[in-house]
Amino acid sequence: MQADSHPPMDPRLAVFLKVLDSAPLVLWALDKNGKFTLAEGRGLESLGSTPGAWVGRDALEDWKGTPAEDAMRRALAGEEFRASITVPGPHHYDVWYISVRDASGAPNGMYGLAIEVTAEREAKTRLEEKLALVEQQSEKINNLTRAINAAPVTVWMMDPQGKILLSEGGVLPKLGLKAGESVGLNALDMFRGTSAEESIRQSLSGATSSTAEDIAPGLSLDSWLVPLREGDTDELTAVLGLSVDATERRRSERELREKLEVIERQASTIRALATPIIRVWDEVLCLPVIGTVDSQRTSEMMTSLLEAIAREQARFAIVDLTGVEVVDTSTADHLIRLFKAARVLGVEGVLCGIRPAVAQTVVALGMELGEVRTTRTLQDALKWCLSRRTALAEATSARFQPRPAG
Amino acid sequence: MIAVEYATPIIRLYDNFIVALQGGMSDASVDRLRADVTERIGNQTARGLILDVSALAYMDSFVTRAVRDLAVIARLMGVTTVVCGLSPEIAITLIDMGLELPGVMTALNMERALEALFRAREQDANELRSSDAI
Repeated sequence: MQADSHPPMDPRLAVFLKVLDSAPLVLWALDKNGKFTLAEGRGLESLGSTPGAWVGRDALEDWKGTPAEDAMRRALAGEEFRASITVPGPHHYDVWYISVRDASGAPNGMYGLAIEVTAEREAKTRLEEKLALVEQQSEKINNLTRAINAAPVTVWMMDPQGKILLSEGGVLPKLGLKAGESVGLNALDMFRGTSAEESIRQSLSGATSSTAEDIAPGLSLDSWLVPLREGDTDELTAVLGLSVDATERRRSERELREKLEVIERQASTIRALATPIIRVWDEVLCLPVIGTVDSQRTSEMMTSLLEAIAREQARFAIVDLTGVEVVDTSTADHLIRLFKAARVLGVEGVLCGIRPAVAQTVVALGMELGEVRTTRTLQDALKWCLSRRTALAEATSARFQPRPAG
Repeated sequence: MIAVEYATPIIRLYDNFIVALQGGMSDASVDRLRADVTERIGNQTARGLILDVSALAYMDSFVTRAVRDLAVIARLMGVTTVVCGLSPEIAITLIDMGLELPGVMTALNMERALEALFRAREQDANELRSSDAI
């Protein structure tokens, strides 16, 4: 193809040249050896060239190793096709390869027309990325919905009037609903008269609320209602609700509480059994101690014995250790405290029935039980109390001769 | 406004003084009680002193110390002291705090406190008699 200026220019050619000069096109021709015989078009600018500059160069050498080289070789071999070519930059082109044949029909060079589509391609890529993201998110939402519908929860949303916009979750079947079935209904109407109505009203007035309610027989829900607001304004756009099935937890809590109450009752029974205080004679109380004595028990023994002393107005308190096999330091310590407290109240204490092993322990530990009156058996203790009581009574009543003042 | 302090009455019964400590006494009125009782013991002949603490809901270390001080002062002046009316709670607290009122006689109630005083006096008399005999 040669630019021949002699004959008057065809007006159509002028249009072509104008288009080539202004549109992002590259039009080129190669001879059968792959040398440029034509390179025109505005599109050359982005390839760092100018119209005509490449004429005479070897195209196959210049574009060696790129997709363009392969395409040009195919076209020179006689193939006609359209291809999308990307060259370093990156620049994207839609290219038409047109084979040229000589009179005998053998391949004799090629024409190429390339339209730069970099901007469109990039836009398309971005769009594809966004689509992929959307698909990924929709997958995520699907998975979440599936999880929500399998789990004992319900997620729902209502508009400021209370109309339900979304309703999903595995609790819904227990309410006799299917996922999404209540969409379009009004939550206030649905729950009118139930305990949930008040919290729905609260959330519609803009307050975040969390509730624990028995929504239906055998169904307890822990709910959180979150008002959603439009941007910076205070205007309520919707209320998002999340409810969790708490039936099982509520029931086990109730069971646990009941069990704890039983245990507490039993413990108090055991405590009462552990510290039986017997009034063995007028003004004489006896506390038989049986089994292991720990500090908790001694402190209870102390309290109940002292209270019994005050209640019965006793003069003597006998602590019987016949049923105690072992004592430790703290037990002995507590016993001493018990007798000291009794003395502070004005009561005489007697310790009886100390077993040989216990006596040995007390001595080995170096405990001072010296201040405490001890007898061998309960019988001896009671005998001592009675004679002491008689002596006291005699000393007091027989010689009670108040002198007149003065 | 002037805080009104009521003096704790000190009752004389035969030759014993009976003082019932009131609940909610301020430190100042405890001090004043101590001074009053000491003065009465000094002025009038008496042989026994009963401190009734049954009206106290609790005994802090200040009141405990005042009671013990009174007992020691009274003994120095030849007067036997009995503290009565301690509640089980107060008794436990005193033991836990290590305040055991050592050297002070204790009784469950006023009646027994009087009995204890008479017995103590009788014992003194017996000792005197036996020393006379020697």
